[in-house]
Amino acid sequence: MKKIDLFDTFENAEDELMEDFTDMSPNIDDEQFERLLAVSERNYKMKKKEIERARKDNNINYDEESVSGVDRVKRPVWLTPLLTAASLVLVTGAVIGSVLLFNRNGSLSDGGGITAAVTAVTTDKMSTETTVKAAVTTAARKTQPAKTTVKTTEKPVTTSSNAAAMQTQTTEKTTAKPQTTTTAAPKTDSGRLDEAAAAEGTAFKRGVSNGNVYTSEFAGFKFTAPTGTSFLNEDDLYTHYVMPTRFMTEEERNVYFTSIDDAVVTYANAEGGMDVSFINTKLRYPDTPNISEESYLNDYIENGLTDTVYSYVSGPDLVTLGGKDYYMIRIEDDGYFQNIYVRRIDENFIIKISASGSAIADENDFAKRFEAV
Amino acid sequence: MTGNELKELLDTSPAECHRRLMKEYGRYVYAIVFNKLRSCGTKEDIEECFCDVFTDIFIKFEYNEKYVNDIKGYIGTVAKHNAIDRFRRLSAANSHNAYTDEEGMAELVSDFSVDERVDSSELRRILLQKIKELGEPDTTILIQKFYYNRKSSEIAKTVSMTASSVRSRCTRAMEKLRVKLAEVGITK
Repeated sequence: MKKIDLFDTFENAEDELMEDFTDMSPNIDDEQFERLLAVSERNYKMKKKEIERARKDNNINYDEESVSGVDRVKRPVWLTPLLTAASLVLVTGAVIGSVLLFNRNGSLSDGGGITAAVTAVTTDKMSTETTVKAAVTTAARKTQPAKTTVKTTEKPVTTSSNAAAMQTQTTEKTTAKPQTTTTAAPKTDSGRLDEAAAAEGTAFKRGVSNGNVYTSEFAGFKFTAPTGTSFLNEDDLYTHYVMPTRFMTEEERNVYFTSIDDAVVTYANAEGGMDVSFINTKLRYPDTPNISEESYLNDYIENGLTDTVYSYVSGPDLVTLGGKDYYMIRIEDDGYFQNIYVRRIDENFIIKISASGSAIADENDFAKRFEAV
Repeated sequence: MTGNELKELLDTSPAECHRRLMKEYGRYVYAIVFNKLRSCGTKEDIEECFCDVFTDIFIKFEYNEKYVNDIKGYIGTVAKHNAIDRFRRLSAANSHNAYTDEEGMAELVSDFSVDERVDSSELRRILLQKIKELGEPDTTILIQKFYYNRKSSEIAKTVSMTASSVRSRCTRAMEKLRVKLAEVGITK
């Protein structure tokens, strides 16, 4: 006898069973349908452009008339010895000329040579500009460093890789109108789209994730997740940050990019987790840049929970984490709880800590994991 | 709509043609993609693959006349190839079961014993037959709950019941199924 999980046996089912599974599959609701259609249409248009371009190129190559056959040319017999003699004269002349030139100017090491061109590229990760300096030096003259400022307008990069934490993430939405400059051309040295614009001109400093420990000097605390868990590394954190933008409108993205994801940890079996983000309130709420924690949470309840499966449960309550006071609300989906903790850090940022599932099953234990730094 | 009708629509309104294609074959593609990726992909992976399939279909439908005659067969093939390709990439990158049982009902369907000589294909056929014998809405509830990993609240909308009714109905239906399976030698 062998042990089986009944419904896992349907994996890789034969084609004929697909009819049954289609009939019993969940309906694709209107909102989901429109979203999936929009993505497919966009991808289709991009691919079609590529195909049309390739076809056009091929037409240029293949539409021209071609001529085939062999054209026989008979060379005079005296041409070969003459060309050989001319080559010898040329080579000998070049050698003699070089020797004379060396004798007159001294060796190359005296400074008469050409120094290899040096190109220095410096890219500030938090900046939206890349500065390229190039200098070419010869014995005769030095050119002034050439400074070129390059601005790019990278489109968001989508990726298929996923973090398990995505399962419990509530993508925050708001109706607040951010300043349009916030996401006009955010990029990093790697060409990635990120939250650089939200940090520009502020005192924001990224925290450090190392295994199950996250430390943020900027927020003034250290959080130690349970042993065996691990905060996302830089790449996975980036994926986690960008994934929700795939189906966002431009306007939603502008709002989304006013926050910075700084840390994400998922507990074993993805049954809980915690993430830290910083919201630039000057950019997100240009009319009320000094928005209080309570008002922010009100906006989160009224607008942020829209289109998510979560519903408001209680709060705001005042709680202490790592010696600092946070305002906290509880939200819930079908018995799965999530706590949102917020605190104003400075004139620019509010920190938002979301913790869910087993991470907050014991709220005292969760609080004890914070230490002031 | 037939392939030829869709092709005519494509000439007049490509966007409308695409909408019809997805409307008509969306669930079929979803069923195929889900079947391949349920053990290794997240909901986002499945949706992304779903979109890739339709992007391919839109392109090939436009540039290859030969697919017009057997459009469903063609769509099934594209969906299967895309899903298998995605499965390989996901498995190579990070094998994980993206779906978790959030309502503590997983034990209802695990640890069944079956004769080792029964092959997978036969087992699938018998199991599906027994589930269908339960009748509606139990069949849909069980498949959506345990195969499509839907929450009771989501299933409730499909079958016009409350989430708690779905949960209790689900438990009772599994009990009935357990008896039916025992009759054919699949025991718990």
